[in-house]
Amino acid sequence: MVPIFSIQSWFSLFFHSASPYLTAIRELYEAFVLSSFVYYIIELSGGEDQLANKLRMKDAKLGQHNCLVRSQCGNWQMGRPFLLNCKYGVLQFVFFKIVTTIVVIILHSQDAFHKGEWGWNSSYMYLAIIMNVSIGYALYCLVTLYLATKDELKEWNPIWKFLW
Amino acid sequence: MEVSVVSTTDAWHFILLVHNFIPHLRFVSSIKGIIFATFWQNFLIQVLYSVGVIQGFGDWDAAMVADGLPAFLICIEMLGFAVLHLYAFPHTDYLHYLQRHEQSFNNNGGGSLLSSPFRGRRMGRGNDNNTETLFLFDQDNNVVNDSSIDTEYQPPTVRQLDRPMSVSRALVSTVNPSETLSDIARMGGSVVVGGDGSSAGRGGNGERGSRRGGSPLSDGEVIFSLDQAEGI
Repeated sequence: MVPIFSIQSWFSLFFHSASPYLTAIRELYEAFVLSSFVYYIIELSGGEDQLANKLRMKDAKLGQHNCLVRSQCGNWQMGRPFLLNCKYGVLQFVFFKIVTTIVVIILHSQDAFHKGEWGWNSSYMYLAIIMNVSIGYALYCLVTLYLATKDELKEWNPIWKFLW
Repeated sequence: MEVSVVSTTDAWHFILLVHNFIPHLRFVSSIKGIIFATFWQNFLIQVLYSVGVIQGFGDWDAAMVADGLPAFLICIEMLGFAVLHLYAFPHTDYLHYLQRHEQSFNNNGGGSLLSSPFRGRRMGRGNDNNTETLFLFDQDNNVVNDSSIDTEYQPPTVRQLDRPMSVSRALVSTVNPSETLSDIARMGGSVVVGGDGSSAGRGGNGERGSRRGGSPLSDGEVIFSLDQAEGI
């Protein structure tokens, strides 16, 4: 992860005209890393079925949300529904990341993508809004997953794994 | 004089506020920081560029600087992330699996997995006084001396990850949607399809798994409704 990020940035500094394509590669890799991370956490806590069984014993408060999220998706029942909601909450980021990366590459090759341009005709604005909403929701789901599984993963030092 | 007092108490309140908020801030803003923080860093720089804060520099115009600045920052930040990754994902997490693997390998008469001379000697010495004593206590803190207790028992909390998955298999298994499709089937709760023996076993471990333990269903049978599934 670290080497790929730094090599990509280094090369996109030197070969500036190629930087959108290098960035696209890095963003696809980001999506892969995040999906791998979710599966890693599930695997560490004993596989999906075992984790779902453990989560069923947990406090129902962990599946309750604050105002904004609650109005959108209600409360999550602890157990498998909670686990699947968290998982797909993170994995939707992977989906949107791949789609927007491909869209950006296509738009860039048509010379229709201008970074940092705000306006109703700007493709950048729509993509930025989509990505911000998606990434915010994925982050929220990761935090809820962390809060629910931190006891199971105590010996794996979860806070650091989630942080970086 | 009065103004300065007001401002210092304000500053103190502000510091207190920030101080109370820092744990939450650190927690919220840096989960998978390497992905999320760099994303928002790029976004912030783009916003600064469109506001007009970022100027051209040398040969580069403002747009190029706005592109290159995140890359430059990432180059520096990755040093810090590399150190943090050493602590977050240390190889020592998996060492005891390797050792256990090696022990079972030795007991089976095979050679050492990591055949270094030092490791071999250490393993040999360990095998001489291998009789480990396990003390168990009852409720009144008396030592229970029961030889029938299975000392080999290990709680099934963590699944063994002793063999690293190959990169190609990991890539395929995270990308292919077969698990996702079975999840959707389970989430709907209406259709449980057991195709062959293996997939039926996987699905059966779920929430209805306990009920399905001694069920008369044979592998490969199809449950069409939740009612039917609960009736079993």
